[in-house]
Amino acid sequence: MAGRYTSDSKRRLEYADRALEETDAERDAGDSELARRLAGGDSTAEAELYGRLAPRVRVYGLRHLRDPAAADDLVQDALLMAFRMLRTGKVREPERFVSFVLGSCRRIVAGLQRGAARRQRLLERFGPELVPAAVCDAPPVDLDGLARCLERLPERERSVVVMSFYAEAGSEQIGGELGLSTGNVRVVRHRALARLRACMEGTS
Amino acid sequence: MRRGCDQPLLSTLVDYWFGDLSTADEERLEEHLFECDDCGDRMRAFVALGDGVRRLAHEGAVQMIVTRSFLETAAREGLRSREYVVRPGERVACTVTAQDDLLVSRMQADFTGVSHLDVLLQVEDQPEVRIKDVPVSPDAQELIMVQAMPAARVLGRTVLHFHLVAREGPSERVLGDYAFDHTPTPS
Repeated sequence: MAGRYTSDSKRRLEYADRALEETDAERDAGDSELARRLAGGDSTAEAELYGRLAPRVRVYGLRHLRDPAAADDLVQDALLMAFRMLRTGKVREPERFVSFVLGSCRRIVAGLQRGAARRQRLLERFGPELVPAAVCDAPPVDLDGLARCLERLPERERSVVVMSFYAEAGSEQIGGELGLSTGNVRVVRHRALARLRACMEGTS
Repeated sequence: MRRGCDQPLLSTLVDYWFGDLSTADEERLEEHLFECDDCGDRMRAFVALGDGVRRLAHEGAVQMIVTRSFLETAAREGLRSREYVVRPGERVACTVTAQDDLLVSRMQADFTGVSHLDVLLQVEDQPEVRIKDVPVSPDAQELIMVQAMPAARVLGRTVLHFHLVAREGPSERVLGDYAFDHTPTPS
């Protein structure tokens, strides 16, 4: 399968030891400041704030909904409602708007997990206002490189990693099926993912 | 927007993703992720890594020891698995075709009391390869191995011998020998 995938991505696995990056004055404006501006009628703050919050909401959605399309829907639903409430003065503390969005996400996900048909209702009600999706995910990893790194893992670690991500099995289930304790599954998984990351960064 | 943050640790992000944090710790982490783009970037990189692993598993790109949950997931995703169920001492004729998504060896054995399992693989007159410390439940009745499809697709006529060996201190006990008589299918 060599050459089937683009190779472009040690940097995607960078850890958080980078130097401070943002120098542009506009981007230095905090989330709270952007929210205050939007609440005060400055619509130019909306795109900037959306660009900041959408990736955060999407990760939350992926974690809880385990589906990229559903996570994209959550981005639209949560931010649409939150921005509307901010613009119409219904957010009491605009400086805590980020917490407000997280709370909205939690409520929507809880609703979705109860099987509510909220998405359809939201689309019917707010459809014309939908903001175009522009969520910046981490680009996909170099699969050829990842395959080589996976092959280098000890068999036990490879099994736990594959079962975790592909079969979406929890620690207890994997432990039961592979003859490991739940704690051992977590230890093996941590070790395996640290090795994978180091391998992809070329440091092992 | 914070920059330059190095907390929480990767292990905490991993536990969060797999639901292994307490509710209180999970909520604290989510609040942090909603304010810290450095950690958000790390989380997204981790999610991308997991997505890559999922794609490779879906393609059978690497050899893997799996369980029935894996095969059930593959079936739900519509993958076509060519499976060979082999009892100890048996020899089976096998192949792989262009229509197969996964090639699976299901080697049956009694793993009762086995704490450490090695798999010995010999291909024709090549040196024997020992795959150490293969995970298997003592309650399992078979070892399920997904073969690497890129290698399987180009494999010529070959006999592969697998031996399952339980390690018990300094001694070893053979649980079963299995022979796969592989013949390529013309494309």
